Amino acid sequence: MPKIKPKRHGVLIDMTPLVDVAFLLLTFFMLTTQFKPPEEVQIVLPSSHSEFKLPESDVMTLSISKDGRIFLGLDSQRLRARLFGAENQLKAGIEVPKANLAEMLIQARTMNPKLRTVIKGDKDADYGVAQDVMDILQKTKITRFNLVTNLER
Amino acid sequence: MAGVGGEAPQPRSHGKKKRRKSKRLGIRIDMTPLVDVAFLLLTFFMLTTSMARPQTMEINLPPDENVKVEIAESNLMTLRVNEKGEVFWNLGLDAPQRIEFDKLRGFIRERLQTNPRLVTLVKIDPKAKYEVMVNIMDELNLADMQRFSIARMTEQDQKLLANIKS
Repeated sequence: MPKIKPKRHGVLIDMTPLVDVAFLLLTFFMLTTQFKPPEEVQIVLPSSHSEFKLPESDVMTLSISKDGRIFLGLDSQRLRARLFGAENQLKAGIEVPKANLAEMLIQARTMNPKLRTVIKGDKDADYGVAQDVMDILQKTKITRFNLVTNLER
Repeated sequence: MAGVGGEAPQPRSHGKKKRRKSKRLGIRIDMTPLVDVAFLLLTFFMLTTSMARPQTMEINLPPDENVKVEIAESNLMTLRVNEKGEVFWNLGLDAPQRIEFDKLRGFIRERLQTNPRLVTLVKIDPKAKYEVMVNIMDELNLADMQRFSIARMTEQDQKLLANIKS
């Protein structure tokens, strides 16, 4: 008995496994995190029951803001630098006037033919703008695209 | 860990001096600050990571807008949405009738059962909200309406809808 008692006196917990796990998770989250450049405009997405996932890479985003402005965004920084110029490469997207949109889309597609087009419209945007954008997409032979939505319920 | 060698626990129990000695033999590092920092960073990265990628809805447009598709009048249902988001339907060249958005899904299902070859044409007023289009398309998808197309709303359509209200 007297042998055991003093041992209990100072309780020291071996924290090594805890630290191991903590660092494992830490590295996991550090590696999976992608820092998004700040959005040019805030977009409130409409909701739908569709369960297609947004593709992970090679995405070209056409954002339509509430006030009807159109932004073209690309997920790869290198492509952004080539298309928008070096000073804009850190921005998620740049505003594109409707008249130049077709040209920009064709340029982007020639730089990376694998690009998938995605329309990200604000739910309060006018449908007319979306219609114009879709017409431009059709004219530039992008006939397959996705609309970004939130999952309903 | 602490007690190294043969002298192990017994000398510890006697007097403070000897206990200290045995402590020095095993090196212990206080890991608490390390753990603190690790967890701080861990929570930071956990909170900034967005795991869920947003959902998308796929649309396929016809490759060439000049291609004309002929559809029998009886197989065509037109859904028109005015700028207030009110939905009107009609078959063929009938006069449009108002329908509540909530009833749309059941209604389309019903129509599809009576005529499986039904094709829907959606015309939305350019002043309507973008959300309306997404909602209508969502309802059509949920009602298993596979074939539908979107067309521009003409002035004629707008007049048609305006006449119903009056």
